[in-house]
Amino acid sequence: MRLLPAILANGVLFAAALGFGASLRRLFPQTFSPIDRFAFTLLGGLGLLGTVLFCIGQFWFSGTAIVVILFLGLALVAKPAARTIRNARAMLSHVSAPLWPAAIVAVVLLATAVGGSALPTGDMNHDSIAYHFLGPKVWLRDHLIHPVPDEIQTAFPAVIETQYAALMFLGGQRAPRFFAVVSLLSLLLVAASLALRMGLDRSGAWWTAALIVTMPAVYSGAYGGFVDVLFAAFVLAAARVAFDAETPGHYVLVGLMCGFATAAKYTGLIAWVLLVLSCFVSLVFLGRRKSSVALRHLGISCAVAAVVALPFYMRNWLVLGSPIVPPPPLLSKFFLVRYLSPDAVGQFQAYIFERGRGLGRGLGAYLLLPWNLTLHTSNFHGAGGIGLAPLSLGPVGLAAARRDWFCNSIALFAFGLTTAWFWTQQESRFLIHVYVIAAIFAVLGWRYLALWPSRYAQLLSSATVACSLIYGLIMILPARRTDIHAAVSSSFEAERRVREIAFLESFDFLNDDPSVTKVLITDPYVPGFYSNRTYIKPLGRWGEQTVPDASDLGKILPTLPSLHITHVLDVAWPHGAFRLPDHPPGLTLVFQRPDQRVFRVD
Amino acid sequence: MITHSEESFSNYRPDPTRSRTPPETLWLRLVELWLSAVLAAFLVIRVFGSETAGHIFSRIVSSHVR
Repeated sequence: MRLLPAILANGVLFAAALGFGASLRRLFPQTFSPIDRFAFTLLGGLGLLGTVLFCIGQFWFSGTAIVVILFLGLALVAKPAARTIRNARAMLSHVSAPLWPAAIVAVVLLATAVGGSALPTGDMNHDSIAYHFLGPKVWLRDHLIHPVPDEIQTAFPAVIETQYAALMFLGGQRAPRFFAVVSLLSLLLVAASLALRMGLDRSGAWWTAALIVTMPAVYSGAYGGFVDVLFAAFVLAAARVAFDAETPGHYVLVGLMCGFATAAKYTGLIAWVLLVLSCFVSLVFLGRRKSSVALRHLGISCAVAAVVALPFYMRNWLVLGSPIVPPPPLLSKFFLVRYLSPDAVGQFQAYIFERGRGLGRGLGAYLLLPWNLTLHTSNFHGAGGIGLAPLSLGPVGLAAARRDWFCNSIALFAFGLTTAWFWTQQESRFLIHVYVIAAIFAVLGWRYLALWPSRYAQLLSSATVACSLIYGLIMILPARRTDIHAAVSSSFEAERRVREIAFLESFDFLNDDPSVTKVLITDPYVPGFYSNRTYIKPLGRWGEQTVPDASDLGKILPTLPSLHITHVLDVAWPHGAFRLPDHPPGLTLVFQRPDQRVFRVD
Repeated sequence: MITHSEESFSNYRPDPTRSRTPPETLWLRLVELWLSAVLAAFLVIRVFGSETAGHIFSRIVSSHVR
């Protein structure tokens, strides 16, 4: 029963997304198969729903607003759903799935569903606690979508996080973690659509899905609040339709998907530009269109993508002073960011540069990238990597499909994405779209080798696929064990919260005491996500300064009444010290534990 | 304007695994070598070199041998 609200909330959001997505069906190419249509309806719907929530949430983000928007989606889905239910028997009779890959996909999705229903725990090293879930929680409390001043990463494009907020409102804090199932499903659907278009049969598409879902680096981009998998799904959807597009409507669809990707992550900007370039090359250099026609059509895509992404970047520019926050090196020369000093911006850029250096940025490292990504995954924060099949069978698949212009266009796009990733930030989960393409080529290569007159090559290629799948399952499933345990056992979940949430007793005190209205958190690394009360952190972990003289608590304490602060949370990390003296003026100690204390403002 | 008169792009459903001539023996051997080398490297570095997965694999192998 504890898990039911989270599951129902995701069901409602899923249905509402399908409703919004149904409004895009007129843009779909006539040749789309049912699976193409379903994948694009879902992805288009998720993108539209997130964008609508974001735009309206700039002015009104109460529970009523969320319910009205979701209800609109549900109203739109009613008619298509009724039609689907009427035709369900006929449709199901056509559905067939090979046992092994379908079972693998089902097992991983089931583990994700159960494990993803556990309450979020952890410290600021978890991106979900630090900002993916923090933003939605604060927005719901403030009835407004806005960047949280002490955590500048809440200013990132938020087309997915706005849906986390809706899920949190409907189903509590478990619901956004359960959303990993929807994210993975979206990616697998669009991967299947792409795999079928690239020449695989249904069985091949299932094997592709199994390879993708057992790539630990892909999985980590969906689980625990990460948005990378859904972002990759938007990019792949754009590519799926872009190279086949013929009418202006198709190009509008490409633009929408590019816009949603750009509204999900900054790296969407790079993917958008590269897709347009790849498309232009594919259209013009293969003699399929005149350059003027190609430019006009791609211009439609760019215009639509810009309109979709504009609110996210314009909001940042208006509120924080820069469209991209924190700004990258080039932009930081022209834009000053509110809350962040130029030094803090420089330190953030240095951190990103250092984190994303992988095994170097030289030509040798570039040429060895496929090898290193497969075998030395930790250098790319790869969470276990991508298995063996892409490196081993991908080149064979590329060779097998060398005369297919669509496959060549997709390969060109993947090559561009990989190169851009290599020069910017080599973080494994930022390359999920390429991993999906690599998995499709791997299955193409496997199928190709099955026709060869070498029993040994066939055996080796099957062993490669089996090894990839087993390795992925071994990396993914045992890591879900504690989450699954927490989801099914309330006592274990309570124990785990105590163990994994620092200063939980103080948060419980502050959340339960009705006299608490606004809290000052003195330490930048205390996760504000666990506070159900409005709070102020003078200094954020990236150097954000939310009040004047943020680094000097002595100057802040006299201003607490004017800031309407009622309580102060002061903590000491292991081997650290409290930030406030034992008897700070104007404060009374009301709660104490060995490493944490709460003061009331007199 | 579409500058080709072939079948519609969107209708095109290639199957690259079909209609291929048998590969030359040299290519066959090279591909076999490549697959063997990558599989061996992966098993050594990622599986048996990895603490978690390697431990599980070792246990499976050792129980099987026993």
